[in-house]
Amino acid sequence: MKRTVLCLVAAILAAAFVLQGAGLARVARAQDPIELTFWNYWDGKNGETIQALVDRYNAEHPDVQIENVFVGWDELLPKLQLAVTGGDTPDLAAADMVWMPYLATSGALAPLDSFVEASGADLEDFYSALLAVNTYDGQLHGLPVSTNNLELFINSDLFEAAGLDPAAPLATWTELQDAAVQCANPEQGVIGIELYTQPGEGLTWQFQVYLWQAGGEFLNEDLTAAAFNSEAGLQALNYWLDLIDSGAYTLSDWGLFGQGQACMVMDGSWMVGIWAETAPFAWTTASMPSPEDGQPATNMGGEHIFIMTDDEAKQQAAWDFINWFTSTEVQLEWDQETGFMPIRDSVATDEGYRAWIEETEPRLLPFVDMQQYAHNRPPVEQYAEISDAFSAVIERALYGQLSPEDALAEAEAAVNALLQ
Amino acid sequence: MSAETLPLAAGVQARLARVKWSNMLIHAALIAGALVMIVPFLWMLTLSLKPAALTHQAPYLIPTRFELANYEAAWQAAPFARYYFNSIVMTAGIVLGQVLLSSLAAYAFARLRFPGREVLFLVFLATMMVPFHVILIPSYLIIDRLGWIDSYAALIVPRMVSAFGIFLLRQYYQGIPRELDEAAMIDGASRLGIWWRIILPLSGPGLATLGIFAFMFAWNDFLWPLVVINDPNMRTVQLGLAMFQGRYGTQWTLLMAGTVTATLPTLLVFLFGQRWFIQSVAQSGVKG
Amino acid sequence: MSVLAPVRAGWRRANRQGDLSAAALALAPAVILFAIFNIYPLIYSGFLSVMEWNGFSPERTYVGLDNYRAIFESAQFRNALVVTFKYTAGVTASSVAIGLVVAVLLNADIRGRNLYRLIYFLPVVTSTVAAAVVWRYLMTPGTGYADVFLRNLGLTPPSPAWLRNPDWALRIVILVGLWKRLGFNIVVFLAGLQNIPKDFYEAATVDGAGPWGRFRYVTIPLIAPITLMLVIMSVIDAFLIFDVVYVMTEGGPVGTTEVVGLLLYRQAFRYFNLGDASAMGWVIFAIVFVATLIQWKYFGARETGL
Repeated sequence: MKRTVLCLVAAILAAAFVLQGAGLARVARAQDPIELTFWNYWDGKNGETIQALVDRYNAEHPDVQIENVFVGWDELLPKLQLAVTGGDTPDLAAADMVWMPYLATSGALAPLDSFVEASGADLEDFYSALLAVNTYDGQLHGLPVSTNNLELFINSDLFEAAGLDPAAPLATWTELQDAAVQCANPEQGVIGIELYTQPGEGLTWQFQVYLWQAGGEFLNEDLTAAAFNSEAGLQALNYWLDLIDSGAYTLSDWGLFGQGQACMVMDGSWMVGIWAETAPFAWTTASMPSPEDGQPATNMGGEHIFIMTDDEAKQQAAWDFINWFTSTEVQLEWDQETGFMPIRDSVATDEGYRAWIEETEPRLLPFVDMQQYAHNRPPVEQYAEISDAFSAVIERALYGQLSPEDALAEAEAAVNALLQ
Repeated sequence: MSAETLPLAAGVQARLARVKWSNMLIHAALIAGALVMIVPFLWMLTLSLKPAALTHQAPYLIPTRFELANYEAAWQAAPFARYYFNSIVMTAGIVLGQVLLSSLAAYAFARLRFPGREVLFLVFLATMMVPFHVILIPSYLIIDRLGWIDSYAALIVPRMVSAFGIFLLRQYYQGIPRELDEAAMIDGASRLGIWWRIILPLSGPGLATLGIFAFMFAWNDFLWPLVVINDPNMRTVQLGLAMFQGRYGTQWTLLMAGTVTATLPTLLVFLFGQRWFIQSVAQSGVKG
Repeated sequence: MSVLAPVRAGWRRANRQGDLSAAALALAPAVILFAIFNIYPLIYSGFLSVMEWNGFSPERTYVGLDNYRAIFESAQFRNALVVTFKYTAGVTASSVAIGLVVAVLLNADIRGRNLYRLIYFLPVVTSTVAAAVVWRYLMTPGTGYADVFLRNLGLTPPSPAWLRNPDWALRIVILVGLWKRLGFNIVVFLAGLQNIPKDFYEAATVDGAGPWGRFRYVTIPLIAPITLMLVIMSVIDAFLIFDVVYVMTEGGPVGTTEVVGLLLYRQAFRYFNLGDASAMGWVIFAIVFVATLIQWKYFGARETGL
């Protein structure tokens, strides 16, 4: 009895080995496709689009198989950091533009200059502000794949109810404030213009728009000290305080515009696609007004793609994909599906693209036109800490706990301390 | 409470009136509290049954629309069947591990004498007081070095033992009469034999309690699986739910539908284990 | 029984050696796992706490006690300590007191006791993150249920709205912490109350005690060991709180809900100052440890059976 059982077990094991061997042999004969893992945080419509693009690339390039892995935005940076620390990184990834300076210092991003040269990619066509973020130690460590900027959204229903014309352009800060005050309705809980006032990067990046419009800078040129404690900074901060005092804005949570409780908000181009589907009210967009003595400006975000593997064959395969993804043709398609802004001039000036926008979603036009005025945030390693420190102080000023002059001075001291 | 009635009847009536009145007050207070407890769930349920366009509008607490498509959409949004499978495997492993290992350790602390017993117990307790983010990165590096990234081992093994479980069961065992141990010893049972044959069978309620807590902890855990799992196929349910809150907006109705579905298992486990739960907590916490 | 005593004593002496080897076997799995996944990481983070390290560069600079000094000199950390103390005190006091009261009410023979117990325990069963998300949503100004409910009652919600109001934000976070914890305390108290013999209450009634007297002189003393255990556990949990605050307020407004757990998270996972994060972690651990020890010694280790 025992012997029968032993024989059976041996037979099964032998069979398993044989089958396994056969399978291996079969696979080894064909050319092994290079397998790449690609991490990014694109979800919803954006996620579907990137998946479709990756699938198409895989189909057209059987020698490469890219696995598109979604990692939530909140989680991607810690996971990338852990991956680098542990030595177990994905082959390529696309991450928030703001993280690039930090990631570049890790030494885990493969420099792209040699690849760019060898394949003759036209770097001149990319917007230089976007490339600047990826340059570290004189080398290019990533390429932009999407960008966005901030412009004005208007709730047409609320405007009309308040006797305002949503199509009439608002050209100056004064006009913006007047419209906001007229439209605001505190009893009904309706806010004139929604500002991001929670501490954190959200506040910093909104405030920077006003700062740049007033002609100021966030940090100085060699990124060694704060530059926002200036007349421009004071003008911007006073404007926000005026908005609060005049009733155009009441300190509140974020997200009121989407619920139909704010007349206006400065938000990103990505919201166009989202609100087109979910907003239960009529709305339109316009470029942000600037102060009478100021200039147009906006902030930009977006995602950048980079290579994290050491293996040369994988690096080449990853570069080929990146080159394809950032090419004008694919970017045109990408932007049309996602509503992201062009990262290259050839896309922005493409006639078909502009015609497409005017036909399908003309509300994207202010974003397209204003992209040229987008500033990038200072590419310093400690940006996250600086942004948090800055916004915490500004928040206290908004709550009336600090005078604007004191706030800017205190923020300057905090930021300078971090830049040591 | 009229005073015109006969003295005897008046006394009875007065007592009846008092009893009913205080009972009603008690119920009123309890109901008010219960409402506060339950409002978030009603909200979750109602939101999960609304079409997306009505996300920010009434109704709020009682569903009037029954958009079951949300549940289907939430399920389809990602390979949730696979995620549930992973969660079940992980949770089963953790519950079994915690129940067995805590029971063994608690027995040693409660019944056996050895040098350093109190100090060791304090060290175990102290681990409950460490903020998890502190040991997160070093723990991750250990898992990485062991080659356990993206494996069930990474999800289960580090959490197979629980200081809380040891604490709970130790209190519980101190309430089991030593006479039983001694009887078994006279019969020739070894120390561990006593554990297996006497203590373990008697600690059903305690184990059930620990099992419920272990289940709740494992099922709802988010941070550790996030850190040790990269492969989408190994994700757990909580990781899957987090996907509904994206960079560019939250899909509320789907998130709520997914959350309601994910809360059901813990609810069921608690419902079934309730009886044991109460009984064991009674025996573990009170006896000195 | 007394005849067997010397026999038992003899057995005990003879078996002490057996005790040690059995204990070693029984504890081995737990000790090994703890050592690898709890103790070693803790020690490693202690080692990191005297370093300056950004998480991935191969260079780590030794900075001695600088990180610790920076923490104690930081006004932000001191504020966070105060906020954390307030949160801990708020949740612990309310969840223990209300838990005991509700348990006493449920202990009376009233109908629907099981249903109440289930409803009160529901919040314990949900994932903290999911609960915090829902509560944040409930507190949304305008369309959130809190506002809708108040307006239906004819009251006006505070302005600025709830979670953006420096006076209200911490209260709401405490409320959510209480909501999450209460059911657990109730169930534990209930079990303990059911173990108090009825004779004690009868004796007290005979002595002339009314309901309040019975509560004060019978219930409270006899439930003391459980109360202490619940207080200690609640303090530990509350001091380490992170999820609820991160989801609901991210420490705002103006730092009124900024707990130490949040600062720790930011240092580790937003700024990647792993040295500072480790030092902060150790400081928090030390505080909780000392607090627990004090509660234990002061309120009687004997009572909890240690």
